[in-house]
Formats: sequence, C-alpha cells, structure tokens
Amino acid sequence: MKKLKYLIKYGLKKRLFTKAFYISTAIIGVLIIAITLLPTIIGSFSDEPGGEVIDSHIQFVDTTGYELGLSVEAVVDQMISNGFDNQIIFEQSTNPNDIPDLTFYNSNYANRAVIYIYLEADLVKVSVFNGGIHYAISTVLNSYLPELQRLKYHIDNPGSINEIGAAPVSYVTNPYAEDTELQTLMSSLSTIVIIPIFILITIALQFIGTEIMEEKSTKAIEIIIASVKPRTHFFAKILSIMIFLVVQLLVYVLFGLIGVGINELIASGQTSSSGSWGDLVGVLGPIILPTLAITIVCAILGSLIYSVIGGFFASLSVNQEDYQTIQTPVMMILMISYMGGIFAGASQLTGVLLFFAYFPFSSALVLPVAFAAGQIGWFEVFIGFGVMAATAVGLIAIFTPLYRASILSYDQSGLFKRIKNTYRTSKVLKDNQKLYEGKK
Amino acid sequence: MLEVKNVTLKYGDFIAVDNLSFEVNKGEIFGLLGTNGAGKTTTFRTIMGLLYPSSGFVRYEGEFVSYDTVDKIGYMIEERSLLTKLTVKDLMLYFGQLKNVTVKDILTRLDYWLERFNIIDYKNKKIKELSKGNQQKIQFISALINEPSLLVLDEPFSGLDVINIELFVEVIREYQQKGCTIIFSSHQIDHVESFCERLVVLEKGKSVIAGLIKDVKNDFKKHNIKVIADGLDKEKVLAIPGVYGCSQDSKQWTIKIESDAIAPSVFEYIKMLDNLKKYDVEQASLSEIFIAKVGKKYEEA
Repeated sequence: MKKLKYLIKYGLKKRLFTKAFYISTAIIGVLIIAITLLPTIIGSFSDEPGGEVIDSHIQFVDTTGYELGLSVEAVVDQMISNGFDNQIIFEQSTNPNDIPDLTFYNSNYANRAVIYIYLEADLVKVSVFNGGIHYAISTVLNSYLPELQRLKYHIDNPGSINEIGAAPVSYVTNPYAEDTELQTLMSSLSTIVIIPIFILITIALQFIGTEIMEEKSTKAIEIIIASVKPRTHFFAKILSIMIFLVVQLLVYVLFGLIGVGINELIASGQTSSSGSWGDLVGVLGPIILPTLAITIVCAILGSLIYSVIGGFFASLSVNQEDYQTIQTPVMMILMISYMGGIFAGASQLTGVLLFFAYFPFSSALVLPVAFAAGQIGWFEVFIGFGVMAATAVGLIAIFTPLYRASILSYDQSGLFKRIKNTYRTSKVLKDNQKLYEGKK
Repeated sequence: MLEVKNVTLKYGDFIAVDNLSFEVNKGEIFGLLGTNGAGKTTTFRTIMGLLYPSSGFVRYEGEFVSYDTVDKIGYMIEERSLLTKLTVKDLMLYFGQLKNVTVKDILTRLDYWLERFNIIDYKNKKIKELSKGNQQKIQFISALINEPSLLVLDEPFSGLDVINIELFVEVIREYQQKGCTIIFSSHQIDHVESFCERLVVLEKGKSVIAGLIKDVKNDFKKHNIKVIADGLDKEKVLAIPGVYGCSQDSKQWTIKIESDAIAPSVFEYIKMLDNLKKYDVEQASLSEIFIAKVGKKYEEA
C-alpha cells in the first residue's frame, strides 16, 4: 500500500508540478473564462440602450375563480419591466371554451404561450403550452406558478400560517414536432459536447502509454518491478493518470464557474440582462447542467476504460514507436466512437443509437449527446454508466494478471500473437504461484 | 544464506531453467555464468521472487523469496536501466523509495557514494548528460542505495575502464566483508575467477559446470605447459602422444596436453632444447574450461 501510494504520488508530481502543466492550465483557464464571458461581450456590442425588447403574447385561461391569472400577469409584468423593454401582450380569460389543447401547436404558436390554471379536487393545477416565449418569462413563470397553491390557500384562509405544498405545473410539449428546436440545436452542438471527452480519453491513452514506455524502453522497469508488484505498478499508473485527469477536469470546471460568476455579476449590474447566460442558452437552459454532469461522469469512466487498455498495450510494447503501432486498433475504436457521438446528435435511428450508447467503448462519447438531444433519458444514461463501470472493472480483472507477464517481456511478434503469448505466460506464472504458495 | 533448490521453470514445452541447485553463503561472492539465452536472467528473476518456479524453491535467510524480501535485495542488470530524463538525485529518490528507504537516508547515502565514485558534481545532472561509465556508476549506486544484504550483479563492469573496475571491485569486496551475499555474473571470466570461490555455468537452462572453482579446475584434466626455450620444433611437440595443441605467443610457447600425466613425455623433449628459461605445467584457465564445455555444446547444437 505504501509503495502504491508512493507510485501514485510520483506519477502525479511528474504531471502536476511541471511548468508545462502550469502554462497549459493558465492558457486554457483564460480561454475558458473568455468563453464564459461571451454573453457580456456580446451584450456590450448591443445597440439597444433601453434593453432587449420582449414582445411575447401570453394568454391566461383561469377557471379557478380566484383571479390567479391576474396575479401571475402582475408578477411577470413587473419582473420583465426591470431590465427589459417590456412589450408583452397579456390576455386574460375565464371562458372554458378557451381551455387550450394540443391544437395549440397546430396554429402559429411562435413567441406565444397559453397558461391554463384550473382546480381539481379543490387544488390548483397549471398546464403550460409554451410556443417559445422569451427565456426570462419562462424563468419567472417557473418560479412563480408553483406559488399559486399557497396564494389560493391564503385567500381561503386569511392569516393562516400553515405550510402548503406547491401547485403542480405541467409543461405540455408539441407532440407533432419531428425535430424540436432543442434537438436541432443539440445536433449542431454535439461535436462541441464530445470534443472535451475525446480529448481527455486521448490524453489518458497517450499519457499512460508514454509513462509505462518511458520505464520499459529504458529497462528501468526491470529495477522497478524488482521492487514493486506488477499489479501495484499497473494500478498506480492508472490511478495517477485518472487523478490527474479529474484534477484537470475540476480545474477547468472551476475556471468555467468563475467565468460564469463574473459574467452574471457584470450582467446583474447592467440595465439590460442581455449579457446573461440564461438569455444566450434560451431553451437549452434546463438541460445544460444535467448534460454537464453526464459529460463529466462519461469523461471519467471513458478515460478509465481507455487508460486500462492503454496501460496493458503499453506493457506489451517494447518502445514508443511500437506502442504507437499496436495502439492503432484502440485509436480506431475511439475514432469510430467519436463519429458515433456525432451521429447520436443527428440520428433518429433508436436501435443504432442505443448500440452506441451501450457499447462500452463508445458510451462515453454518445451518452451526453444523446441525452442532450432528448433521444435518451436518465434511465438509459444510468444503464450506460453501469455498462462502462462494469467494463472498466472487467478489463482490470482481465489485464492485471496479463500485465505481470507482459511488463517484463520484450516479445516483438504481431499483436495477436503477443497477446496469446502473454496469456500463456501469465497462466504459467499463475499456476506456478499457486504451487509455490502451496509449498509455503 | 541463499538456497536455490531443484529449480525448474517451464513455459509450456520450453524449459527456461532445468533443475538448478546451488547455495550461496553469507559473505560469499558466487559466480553465475551463461551465454545469452542460457537462463541467467530467468534465474536472477526467480531469485528475486519476480517469477515462481514450476518446481523447486528459492529460500533466502530461511524464507521463501517473494515480494516481502525484495527490499533486502540490490539488483543491477546487464543493460542500462536508468530513467535518462531524470536527474541523478530524482532517480535515486524514485528507486530508493520503491525499496522503502527514507528520503533522508537516500540523500545521505547518495552523497556518500557520489563522493566515493568522484561524481558528486553530477548529482543534479540529468542521466542522459552522463558518460556511459558514469551511468554505470549511477546504476551501481542504485543497487546499493537500500544497503542490501543480497546483491545481484549482472555484468557490473560493463563499460568501465580499468581504474573504475578497481573501484567497483573494492566496493564489492567491502560488501562481502560486511557479510553481504553476492551473486555475480560477467562475460569476463577472469573476473569471475579472481572474485568467486564457487560458480555455476548455465547452458540452455541446465547447469553444465558447478561447484568450487578449485575443484572444477582439478576435475578438468587438460593442462597447459608454458615454455621459453630456443629451437622448439612445433611438429615434434605435436607428435608426442597426448599433445593436442602448440602455439607461440611472443617468445613463450603454450603446449596443450590431455592430462598432467603427459607432462613428463613433453619434458623429455623440452630438456634437450637450448637456452631453456621456463617450463611450467599449469591448470587450464576457467576461460578454457568454459569454451571446452559450453563451446562444444554450441557446436553440437
């Protein structure tokens, strides 16, 4: 355990406390902050002195008899007037004939919304038919509509201090849409989403290979393996690379958060809120955070799978050139997975998509895109995580005994023959170990 | 004491080491010889517990060798085995800590050895900037950094000049006197002969020569006669029964005889020569025994 800890520490020190890491982190950090300040930069070029114009059309159909629609209208009107050029058209109705249904999406619904407030078993319920109103209005509605239950209760019971639950709000989406705005946007953004994962996986594959090859090609491995078990060496290499990648990932996320924080701080001080990320991402807002979380988990699990493979392939190689040659099939799988990730953003072929999502070597690149595009849900995402985690554990279990045979071997036959020879040797080593330990 | 008992290591049909047995006492330098592919590296790896034998066992200080014993062992391999991008100090810290030596001890010992080998100025230099001879010194220091009680040295003098070989010999002798068990391998057989009392010679995994060097030489019947005299007729010498070689090196003749019993017959001829200055009957050198035993086997193969 002591040697494992030391090897991990050594690997991390070699990667983290270097000028190259400091410089690259600083440059990437500045770039991330610059990207996250994009809304403010865009906002600063806006020529609308009075703020962005919001001219959505909102109709309230309130059959409760409590005039709850009017209260929502007042809140939206007041909130939007603060920072925007409020040109919203409100319409109130209590007529049951105006109750909306899915035919809403048959009409010209762009920039319109109908909010239906009704009672069911004396409880307030809300249905929202959103045809693409401004994000700022959606934000106000999201936070205020659940309050209607409490409002009704206080009208019925003035002075009561009882705690009342929120009103259930359902968002009725367009069932006829073949390709929603969200999907179109995510399809075009899919390559951007998977690039960081692809980069991290490639880094994992290259770093672990370089590190092991550096020791093997100089024959220093003979001295190292004479001091630590091959298993300890293998685990230490994987763990140090993984910890390094997680640290790097967290540093980038931190830079992102700092950038977003600075951006929102600047945006809140402006008369217009056009510099906010919320406005820029629009309808993508609610799925950004879950997608980001899935992306991080996928990046970690994907890097783990590929670093285990990379570690084993490096142990089979005799020098850097040899490693570059024998890792070609792995790189090809990674490239196919990358293409699968892009395909996932655009494809409507559920079967193919699920194959790429559950195939452990492409899951990391496909899951975030497919989720963001709304093609799979949380259930499928968790299955994908499970498949990746199980694969990583399985690969470690298979490769660890083989690593013991391959790390001190300088076999230069073809890849498959090399793997076959390694398997045979590892079997002999295992059998001998059993016999030997029996004698003890 | 290191005990290698009936060790066999098989990989399928291939036998890397076949029923090898020897013992190395505390404070002894033991020679392990063999041509390339003879099973020397496999034997070293088995001794250090990196490989498990298919049959037989290796015990060190009464315990079966395993990764629990590796911290007591210093190992120097035949090829360069240094991380050339690291500095001397960083490399020693890396290798030393893998042997569970504290940083403080590593640095103290490193300073001592660098001073001893006259390379103290290279402490913070990268290995790749060092000459081959100095790299060999660093490799030797890395084997000593954990103050081992068992030292495995595979070709320790490779790439060294005569002065540095003497320096290494001095250190190895010191370790021997401290009671360290030393296994030594070299392609320069005269080193083995001058260093070791006992040896094993491996050929295709099998021991072909084993035991005390003195006994090996005694058992080897062929002898050499060194002669310095005028008028020696090579053809007449070769005509003597039991003489199988006669060659001249400078003024000295070397006559090879099948056994020391032939020596009187040769002397009968030599004593008639003019100006006889030298007549010595010598045992065959270890080198000759090695070539005779192993070289012959190669030819057969």
